[in-house]
Amino acid sequence: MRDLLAAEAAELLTRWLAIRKDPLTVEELFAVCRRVFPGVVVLAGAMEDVVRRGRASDPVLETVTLALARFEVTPEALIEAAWVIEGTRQRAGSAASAAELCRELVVEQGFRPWVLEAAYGIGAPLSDWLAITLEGVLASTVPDYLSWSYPAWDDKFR
Amino acid sequence: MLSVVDELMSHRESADGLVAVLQQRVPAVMQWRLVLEELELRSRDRRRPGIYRMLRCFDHPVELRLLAASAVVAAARQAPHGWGDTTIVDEVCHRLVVGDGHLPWALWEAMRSLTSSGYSSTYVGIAEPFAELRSGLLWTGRDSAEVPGYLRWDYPAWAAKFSAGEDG
Repeated sequence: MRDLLAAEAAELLTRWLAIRKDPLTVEELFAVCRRVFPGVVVLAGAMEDVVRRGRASDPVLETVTLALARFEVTPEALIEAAWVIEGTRQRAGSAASAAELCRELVVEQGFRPWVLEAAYGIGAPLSDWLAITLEGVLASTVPDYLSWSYPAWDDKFR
Repeated sequence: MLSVVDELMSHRESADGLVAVLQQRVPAVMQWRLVLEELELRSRDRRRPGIYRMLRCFDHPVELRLLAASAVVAAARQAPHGWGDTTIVDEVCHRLVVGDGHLPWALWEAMRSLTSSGYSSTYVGIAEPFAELRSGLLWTGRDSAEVPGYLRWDYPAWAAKFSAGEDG
């Protein structure tokens, strides 16, 4: 389901950027995106898709690249997240629910969800576990954490 | 490399026979692994347990991959816009594998994971050294005094490993 949303978001963003002739600022881009996209993680994936495939004119692409940098997903952040995910997974064992673990990572330890998502592949066995975790959180435990109004990143992308 | 895969697909060797062909035709350990992965992909419905068993020899704990990922990023950060000289790439690979003891396939997987996530390849600016390190790990034939065959299948550290068929 989330993959579908990300793909749709990427198409939507691409179409919107394609008709945009003039350069725009990062702030203008985020202002539009906050109105159009349901959550920050979907937007991160959509922007990443636009940049990776070069699906915009050069000046617009440059702005999207700068906007993407606002998410601060560095290789170091990915590796750190992968270490913590693995440690949390091992410590919690099989008894803890996926939602409980994700709540600890996101709310208590402060990891950004898009970093966790991007860290999927760094540690091999984490993929399925984290996918289930994020779904679980989306469903109930921290319902707002992927939305723009979640306090930790409400100001970050304004 | 794909021609070797095509050739092996037409054979029906035992696992030992497969190893013999690989040792003869695919000298580098990393290429060996990629050939096995491709063979497994193509043979999935043909049940060739020998391929699976050999691929298991490349398994490693998550912790080793995470350590490899950290080492790869640190190395790439030394040359954010590439090294521009294959000798330096070779030296870096040599240091990572021989000096620091990282498994080359753990390094490879770390680089594959980091670049496939997309974020790192789009704006972090170290995609180029990642690519150079990956090609360095695939490097096959240039045995020299500086790089004495450390990525070849018969490099002592992993020749014993594969002949024993051990995991880990």
